[in-house]
Amino acid sequence: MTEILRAAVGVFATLAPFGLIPAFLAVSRNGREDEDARADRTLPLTVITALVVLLVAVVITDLFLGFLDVSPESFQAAAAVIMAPLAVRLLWSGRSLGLGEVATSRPWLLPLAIPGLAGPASLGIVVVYSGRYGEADAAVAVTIAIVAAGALLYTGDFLQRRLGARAIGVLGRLSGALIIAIAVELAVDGVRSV
Amino acid sequence: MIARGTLLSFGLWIVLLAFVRVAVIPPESCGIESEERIAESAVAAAAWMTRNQNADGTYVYLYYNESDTIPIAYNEVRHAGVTMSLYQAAGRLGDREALATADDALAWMEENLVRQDGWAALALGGRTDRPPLGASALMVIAMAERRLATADTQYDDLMREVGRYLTVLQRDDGGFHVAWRIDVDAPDTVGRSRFYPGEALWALALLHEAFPGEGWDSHARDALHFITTLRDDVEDVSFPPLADQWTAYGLAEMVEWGLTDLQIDYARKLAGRFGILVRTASQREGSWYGSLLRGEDARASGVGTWTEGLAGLWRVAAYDDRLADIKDKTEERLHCIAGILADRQFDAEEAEEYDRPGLIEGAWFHEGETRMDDQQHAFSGIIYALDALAEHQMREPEETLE
Repeated sequence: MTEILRAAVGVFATLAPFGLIPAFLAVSRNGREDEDARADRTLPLTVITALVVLLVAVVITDLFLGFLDVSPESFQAAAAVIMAPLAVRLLWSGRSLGLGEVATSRPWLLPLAIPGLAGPASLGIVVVYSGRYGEADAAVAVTIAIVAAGALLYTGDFLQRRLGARAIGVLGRLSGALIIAIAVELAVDGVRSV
Repeated sequence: MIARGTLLSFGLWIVLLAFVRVAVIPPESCGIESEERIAESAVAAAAWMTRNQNADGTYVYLYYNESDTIPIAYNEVRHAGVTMSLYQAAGRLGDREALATADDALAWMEENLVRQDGWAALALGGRTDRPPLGASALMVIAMAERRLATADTQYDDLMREVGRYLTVLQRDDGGFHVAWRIDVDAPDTVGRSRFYPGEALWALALLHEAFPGEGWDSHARDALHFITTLRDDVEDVSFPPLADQWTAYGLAEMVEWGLTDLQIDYARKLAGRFGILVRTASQREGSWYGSLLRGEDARASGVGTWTEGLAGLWRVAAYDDRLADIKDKTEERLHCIAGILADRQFDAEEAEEYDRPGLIEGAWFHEGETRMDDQQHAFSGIIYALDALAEHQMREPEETLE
């Protein structure tokens, strides 16, 4: 159970929902107290799509690593490198997506679900955790993390009103620092593993 | 419609992923997969060591295949090491020729002993004033391997005599002086060696296994304490722990005596050290750019030591539950690196292209050069890797030679 929770925290960190709140609020009314909010399906579509993508990543980890001819331990270093751009972006701006990026015909898919939630960083860590903890535990961890991220996005409007945009930005930056810490742990563990 | 920013972002991700693929995770390849062919590789290596012995009991030390030359050079530490491997071949493969060859090599070592104050030490010509610790440690190990292979006790007194040299050189902190200075009758406090402590550790552990109750174990425990707590600092190792297969052999021998949590943690780190060396080697093999990014292949003596080290740690993991989580991974790495070694070995067909195929077949060449310990470490690594793949936990041979 401890391992599942540890993995869930790791996945949640790479989903970086605090950094996604501004972009999410720009296109969704989910969580707001008006008529349009009930009709808006952005949040469920985003969350379900991201969950499916990440669960597929969990299931195909062995196939994927076999296709690449890479051992899970070596992949950890790659996952660490892949996380770096997201971490830098979060540290720099507090956001994982720019507001200009959500001007698409299906923003729940592109860019909110992919790569907003199910991006290279979260996919990378999901592959690592699937190899490290096994598919079942990794799938549970992904589900917990996605549900938590969805809940956070749902309360995004409330949080922004209560805390202010600046505080959300600070939390986004903290997410970036957390991702760097996770990336370092992955890289070090990859180097020290058999 | 997709925003331009999103497209740009995707493009940058593709560039990054391509970079990661090439620079961080090039494909890994493990050479030969068939355990049967890997075993054949060990037999060929043992045959090389047996075939290339000189009349005086020494071996062909170095050989350059392009110029077909054998330089005049020798090293008694490596002589003892090759002899150790041949006794392993005798025990493991039931190879009587290997036994006879190793006995001739042991006779050469007996002729090159320096004796003083109840101890004996192996030293070659120019070094008789300072017999190196490593040569005597490996000589003890060779005799211990002979004892395991044959159950013959005729060298027991000599084992003890040479073993006493190791204890004479042991310091209070469990580490070792590298030699005894005969001229001033005092230890050499200036010379240093990273690997001698591991060699001495394994030798002392084997002495205890052969002669329990004589006190060799306390010296081995002190040596292990030094290695696991001090050596990397004393020797200023850049990437600790030092990738020392001798320590792995020692840990494998001592695991049944009971290891502390600290020693188990050290074993785990050491397995990781060997693991990344193996993964890097497999990345060199996997693609043309792998070798560009990861550098040239290490010589077989190096690759063989990683294999020996991992195989020793596999035994620790197989015995002690605290390392059970790395056992399967260790087997995977052992299969991989043994396959790489087998793949790089010169076979009979390749040997026929040279003037002296007997010096080629079964050998590993690095930049046109083979040294006798290339065959030694590769051979020992492969036979113990095969043990791990067969879940054969006991290092001793199942049957002894008459």
